[in-house]
Amino acid sequence: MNRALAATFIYLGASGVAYTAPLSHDITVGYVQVADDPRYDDQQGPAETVISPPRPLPGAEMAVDEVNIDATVSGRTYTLDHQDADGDDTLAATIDSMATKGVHWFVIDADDDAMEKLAKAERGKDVMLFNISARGDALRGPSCQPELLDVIPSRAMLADALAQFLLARKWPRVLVLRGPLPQDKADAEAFDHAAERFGLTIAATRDFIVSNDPRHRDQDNVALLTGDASYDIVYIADNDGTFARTLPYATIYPRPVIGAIGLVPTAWSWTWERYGAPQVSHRFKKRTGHDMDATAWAAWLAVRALDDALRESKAASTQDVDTYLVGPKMNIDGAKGPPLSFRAWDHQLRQPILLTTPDATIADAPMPGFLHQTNVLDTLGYDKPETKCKF
Amino acid sequence: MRKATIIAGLVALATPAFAGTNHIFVSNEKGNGLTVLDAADYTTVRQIKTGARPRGMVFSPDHKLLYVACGGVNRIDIVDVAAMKVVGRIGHIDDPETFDLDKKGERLFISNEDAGELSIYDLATKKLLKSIKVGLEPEGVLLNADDSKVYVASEGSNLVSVIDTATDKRTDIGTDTRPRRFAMTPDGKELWVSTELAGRVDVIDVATNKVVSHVDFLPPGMRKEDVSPVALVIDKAGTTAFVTLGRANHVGVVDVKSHKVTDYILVGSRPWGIAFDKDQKRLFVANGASDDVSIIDAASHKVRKSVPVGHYPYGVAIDE
Repeated sequence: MNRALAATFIYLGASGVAYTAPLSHDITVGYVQVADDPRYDDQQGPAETVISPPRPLPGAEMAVDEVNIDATVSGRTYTLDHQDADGDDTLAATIDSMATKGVHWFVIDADDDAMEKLAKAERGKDVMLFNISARGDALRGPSCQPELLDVIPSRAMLADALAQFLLARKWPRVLVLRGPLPQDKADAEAFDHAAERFGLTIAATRDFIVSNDPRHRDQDNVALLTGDASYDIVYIADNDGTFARTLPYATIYPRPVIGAIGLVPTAWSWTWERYGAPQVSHRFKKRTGHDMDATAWAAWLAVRALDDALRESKAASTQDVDTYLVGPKMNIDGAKGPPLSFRAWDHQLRQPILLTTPDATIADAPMPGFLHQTNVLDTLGYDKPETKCKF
Repeated sequence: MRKATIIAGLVALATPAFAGTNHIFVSNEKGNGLTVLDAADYTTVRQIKTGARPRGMVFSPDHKLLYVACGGVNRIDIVDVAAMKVVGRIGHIDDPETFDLDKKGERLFISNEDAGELSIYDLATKKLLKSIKVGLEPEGVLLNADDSKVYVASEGSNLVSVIDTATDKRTDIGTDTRPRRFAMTPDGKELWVSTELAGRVDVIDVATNKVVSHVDFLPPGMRKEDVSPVALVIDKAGTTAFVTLGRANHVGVVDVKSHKVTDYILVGSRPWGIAFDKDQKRLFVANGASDDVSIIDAASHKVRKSVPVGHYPYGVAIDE
């Protein structure tokens, strides 16, 4: 009934936060993904299996069903409006057209490049975007935007979690193997930053390629890549995963492998058994038939965070809700232990990082003993004094 | 064990209505059984093997039976309190954790965490009577004094549902983050619910179904996010409440009238379950992450002893 009202925007100024809209009882959450997102391409796996990472959409769908349970208390009912943009270039247009119909909050599944372009295009507009799958540090740094909230952990947070773990285990000397993709370079760069921050020693950094060409044996031969250096552990940056898959047990010295395989840092895993996590994972698996991964968790959390802000802020406008979302009172239950909230300086969701194998969560960072003057979760990722984000 | 029987016999002579064994039952979540302690000298009397993951425990009104939720095997095991062994079970209950019994001991009200339901079982036939939808991940269940209302805390939805047991009508109350367990003031006017991720207890006015006050916990030198209140008890006089604070490794002491914290008691690691003894002189706290029970003097707030029990102690039930 209030839909018409919600769509009536009051124009306030020329740039910056320019709009505000009174809140409706019915909240439509936009969900936009890119149809040809290469991250979800079917990939041929071992033994003719197809490895196709699942889209995170069911996480948002599950959260919408869940937040509708407390409708009598929150005073809201939620609907998910899911649309596919054809490609990166039409992402902003898709969102703009939904925004003109009164959608203000969007859950966005897009890669780093697409997300950067989108957030830039939406600057100053009447939207708030939840990034659930782009991990790039630039989005939380030089390319940050006031209309962007990063639910998925940044590369820096994932790398910091590994670095804390290695220090806690007293395995400080690391051999870094780096793949050819830009994302591999970005992962390795984040790991370098973490190593410096926490005082690990990088024994050597070596680039690998997937090849059988003897002329490139220094880059495709595991024995050569892992020999002639003194280290406790191998860190591999490999977003494709083909090389990493057979690296454990193939290193020339008996050393564990971490990063893209072995011990993997992540926002979520079905192996995480504490703080009500199994219930969240069970509900997700029940409706999808597959395990909840980090991006599905982030999609779920985005909608839950929005409901929290709407319910607790008792705000009268979208703008007030957005202020509350990035404010100090947010206290989101992410089933990861401590309450979660967004960092005011870069809009990254502060959260524990799980360090997982295919069978178990081995540890959750921040590791014990890593302290911080205000919130130990801020030992992961760029802290306030280090941020390169200027809104 | 023989001593226990004799004590039980003597008590039976003195107070025929209520024959306690003077035993303390501790459920060991990962030990798959109960540790039975002697209430006088705290020695281990027996280990009772139960189904996997025993957590919530409630006595039958006559204290002859102890019902134990065994989440790992989806059933409630029924322990004969005097014989200290499992004598029956109620099966096919989805991941049971906490529950309550009506005052006649005829019906069992239990939350089903995965299904998001409150289920009611008939104890004579051990059959499911009905299930009622509540919020996500329901946990704490509490019947009021005349069994006319049952309260269910849904930790995944930040809701307390009030269900009229005659009509099944449900009313929801919004709470702070992650509501867990309940305690009712003896006058039945205030319902206290721990909200784990808010680090506080919400106080609900029973007449209006509204959160009217909070009790915030912050032991000295700790941060808000380290404080995760779980279980709580209020004394019979309605003057003092004791709240286990989980990760903060303390029990908070609260003045019930003013809703003010008056003291913090350092106990073991991750305290969860808490129970008074019969004359309310001692408190027993199950420390999940240090595999022991802290015994607190209720008047002085001093920990008198720590007693090792099984793996991951969850709850304490006392038969005196």
